[in-house]
Amino acid sequence: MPVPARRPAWRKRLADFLDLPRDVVLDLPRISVIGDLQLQLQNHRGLVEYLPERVVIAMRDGRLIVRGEELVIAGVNPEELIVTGRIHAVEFRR
Amino acid sequence: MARWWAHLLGAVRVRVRGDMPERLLNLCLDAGIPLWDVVHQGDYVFAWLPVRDLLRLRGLARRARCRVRVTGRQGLPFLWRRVRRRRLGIAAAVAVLVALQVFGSFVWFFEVRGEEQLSEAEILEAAAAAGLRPGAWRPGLDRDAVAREMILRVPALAWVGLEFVGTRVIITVAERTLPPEETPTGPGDLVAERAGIIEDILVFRGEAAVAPGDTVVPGQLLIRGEITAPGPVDAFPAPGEDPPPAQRRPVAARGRVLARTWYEGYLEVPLVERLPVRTGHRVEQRRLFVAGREIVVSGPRRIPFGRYEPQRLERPLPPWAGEAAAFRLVTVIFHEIEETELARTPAEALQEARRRLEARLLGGLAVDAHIESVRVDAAEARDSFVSMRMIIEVVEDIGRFKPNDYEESPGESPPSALLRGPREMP
Repeated sequence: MPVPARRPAWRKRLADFLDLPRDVVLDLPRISVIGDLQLQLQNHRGLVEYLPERVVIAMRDGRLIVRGEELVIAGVNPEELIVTGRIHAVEFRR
Repeated sequence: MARWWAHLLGAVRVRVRGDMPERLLNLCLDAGIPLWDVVHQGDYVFAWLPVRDLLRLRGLARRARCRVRVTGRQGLPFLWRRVRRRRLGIAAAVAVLVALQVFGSFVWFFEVRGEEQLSEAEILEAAAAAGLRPGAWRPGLDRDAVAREMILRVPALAWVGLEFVGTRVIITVAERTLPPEETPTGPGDLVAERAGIIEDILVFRGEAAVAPGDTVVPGQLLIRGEITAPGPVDAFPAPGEDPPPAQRRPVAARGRVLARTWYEGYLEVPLVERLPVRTGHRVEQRRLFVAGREIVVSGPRRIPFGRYEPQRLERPLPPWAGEAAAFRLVTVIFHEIEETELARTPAEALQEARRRLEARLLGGLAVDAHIESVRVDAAEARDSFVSMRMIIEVVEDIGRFKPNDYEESPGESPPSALLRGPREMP
């Protein structure tokens, strides 16, 4: 997957103008959280750390830290990553 | 992620141990190996992955300095491997199925229905001769042909139906009524069974010794078992020449001798009769017959009725043991009996007397006997009972065969019956 070095401003403007989903245009991660049970992350860059109480996932522009209890990586493939368990917090880190 | 599909195609659960299991997970991601149910437990990380990626995972693990151990297997490939290992068992199962199919297409058991005169053995013998024997292959049997052949072989069979039920065949037969077979007897006479007056005599074989109107006593000769045959003739006798003397030949006399006979009976019927009647109350006892003694197993030991009628039912133990089994289960049902007084009017009593007398007198008659008249002679109605005398007049065949050996000899004179002249038929 080619990774652009910078986010060109014209792409953001195009996305705004055409009302396109930004994750598609800007290559941003898309996160869906279902209650505190499941977190689904598309467009990830791999796993940095995995512990039952903390999962650190690499993204294009930083990291996503999922805190909780008995966290399980229910599924992982190049497109998406699913974390289940009791999720307490989701934190973005640059 | 169609996880059930992955499980079906074969999935393994691995246990990963290492300082950086995340590194292995990332390597898997890069290699495109899907992982699921990744659980961190203590020092280990467990994960599921498709079995086809296991070898690649091992290579990656070496690079990530992790140790990988397989702890679980699931899916058809593993199932298939287990099944293949039990090839012998599968072969046995297939053999059993084949054997069932093969043995099921043979006829092993027979059931015969509808036989009356013929014995089951005779019918089975005929069936075997027609090709239907134990072990016959069912598809090779032509049902109609077998039935036809059986009918041809046994003249007494009018119809044969074959019904195949699994390995059993039910042979249903209908028998033909054959003309009564003449039992070969030696020569003999027909004598009177009862006293009577001869009404009619019809000789099939032999020579009549009595004529209509004669009174006969029991044992009297009716038809002589001897016939007069013309003597051996070499040439037609010339005029004026005596024919050769007739010869006497013994035969088995046959014929119908209808005679008028009488049956007489006398009966008294009380006007008030005491009849034992079951009340409907009953108790049941089960006893065990052992060594000549009966031990009450269940049911009351004392019979709570004043008068009763026991009804016994014995079954050997075990059921297939014969009548003289050492152990027998005896069920005795005690029916309570009550005496009921049955009061009749004189007219009813007479009717009852008539009914009973007729039953008694006519019970022993042959079916072709003809009842000429029923005479009720003395029917007296007294205070406590009625009495009745009944005389029934019957015309019946009184002939009874009695063996008698006549000496074959040239006869001098024809028997007297022949001299009586032509008989008059009534």
